[in-house]
Amino acid sequence: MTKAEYIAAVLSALRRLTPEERAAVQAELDGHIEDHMADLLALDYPEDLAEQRALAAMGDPEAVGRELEKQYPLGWLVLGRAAVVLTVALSIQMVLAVGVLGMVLDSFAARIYPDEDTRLNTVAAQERVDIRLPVGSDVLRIYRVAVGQSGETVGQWEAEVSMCAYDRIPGGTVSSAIWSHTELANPRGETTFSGGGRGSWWAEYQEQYTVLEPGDTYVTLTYDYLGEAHTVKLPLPEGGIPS
Amino acid sequence: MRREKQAVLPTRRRMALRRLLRVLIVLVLANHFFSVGLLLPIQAIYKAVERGGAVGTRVIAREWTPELYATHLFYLTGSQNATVLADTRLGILGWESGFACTLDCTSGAPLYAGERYMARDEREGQLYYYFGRVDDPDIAAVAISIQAETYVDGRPVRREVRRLEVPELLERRGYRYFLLHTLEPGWTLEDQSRAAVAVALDDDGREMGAWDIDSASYTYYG
Repeated sequence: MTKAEYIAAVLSALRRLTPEERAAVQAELDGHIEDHMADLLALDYPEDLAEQRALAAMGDPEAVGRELEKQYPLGWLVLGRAAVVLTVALSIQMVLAVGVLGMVLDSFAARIYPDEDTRLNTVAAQERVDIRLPVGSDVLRIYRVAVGQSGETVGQWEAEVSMCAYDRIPGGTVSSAIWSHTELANPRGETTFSGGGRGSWWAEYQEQYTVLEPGDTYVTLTYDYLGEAHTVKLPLPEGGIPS
Repeated sequence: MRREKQAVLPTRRRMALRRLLRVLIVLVLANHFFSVGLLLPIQAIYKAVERGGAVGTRVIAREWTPELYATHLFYLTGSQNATVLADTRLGILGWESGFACTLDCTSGAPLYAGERYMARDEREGQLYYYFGRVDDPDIAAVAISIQAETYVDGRPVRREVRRLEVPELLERRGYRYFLLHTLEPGWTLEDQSRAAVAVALDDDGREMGAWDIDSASYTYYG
């Protein structure tokens, strides 16, 4: 039996090996035999005899094959391949859903520097604030208070409170129910206007309004839902309502 | 001459573990940031529940309701402060979150009830879900009264057109819940509006009270 025949006999006993593993086993066997032969050749053995001795020292090729196969458990191969299939499937799904990336970034913007345009036509005064209320698993952030007039109520001064909401865990789901349980009132407790905004599963933005009268210095924002209640008194920005 | 040492092929175990780690990272990215690739329906349910504003709810009951979609699952979840009905179905992006109908159970009412109804293009009928929590220990059973409302001399007049009996109250973690669904043909009384009323019954089947179900949501699947 030649070296090539011996290796072929060992490999024929290995049935569940990948081509890469088969090549690795072949190289390993080849190396072992070559090393052994080199040792024998160094002792002045003729090449034919060195090869025969080296192969004989390796043992029965079928038995070697059976033992080698035990080193390659099928379970890990199946698990590894299943992981690859799942990785590919998930990657395709993420590519299909790449449109949501903008919304995910929106949720980061909400926690770093939210800055929606005001809906007031005329702004008399505005001030950036940073008030963050924990609400359920989310954070309700008040980031701007403004005083001005909108086109809908000519001559009437209004307070606009700009807010956003995001999940406490970056990129998580935010509640869409926050705004329907948030109310903005003037010092007389009037909640004349509701508000407008935009939102997604990752970030919610809203502006809420209430009418003001000369002398008003603050507005009150309340949240009450599912056993959680918050009340925040928001001073109107310097300058307030022009006299 | 001795051979040069060859590059060692990683073992199957090591390669599988490396691939599992990689898929785990991709799974977290896909699930958390993209909301896709949800492998379990409960993941999609909890995303919907969170979208509805509730936190810390636990599963009370679940139903497979294939009337609109073959894989449509409904979960009733509850906590001390909220009772939520949410749904999910299997799509090409994995389990997809549906809608969560949330009941605020903090007002001290004897009974909280909600309604969710859905229809799908080219499917017969509408799927109605009724759910809620019973906090009054004297209430032994609940029924849903479907009523037609019309106006006579400017005043609303109602008549019951159908009554749905809740088969049993589900007792979980110290609270009693109910969950009921029915597939009904479309509302044919076009000149009358439809109202759903939760009726509380005592041990003898006598009515203890009735409450209009105000928490309702409708979904039309195109």
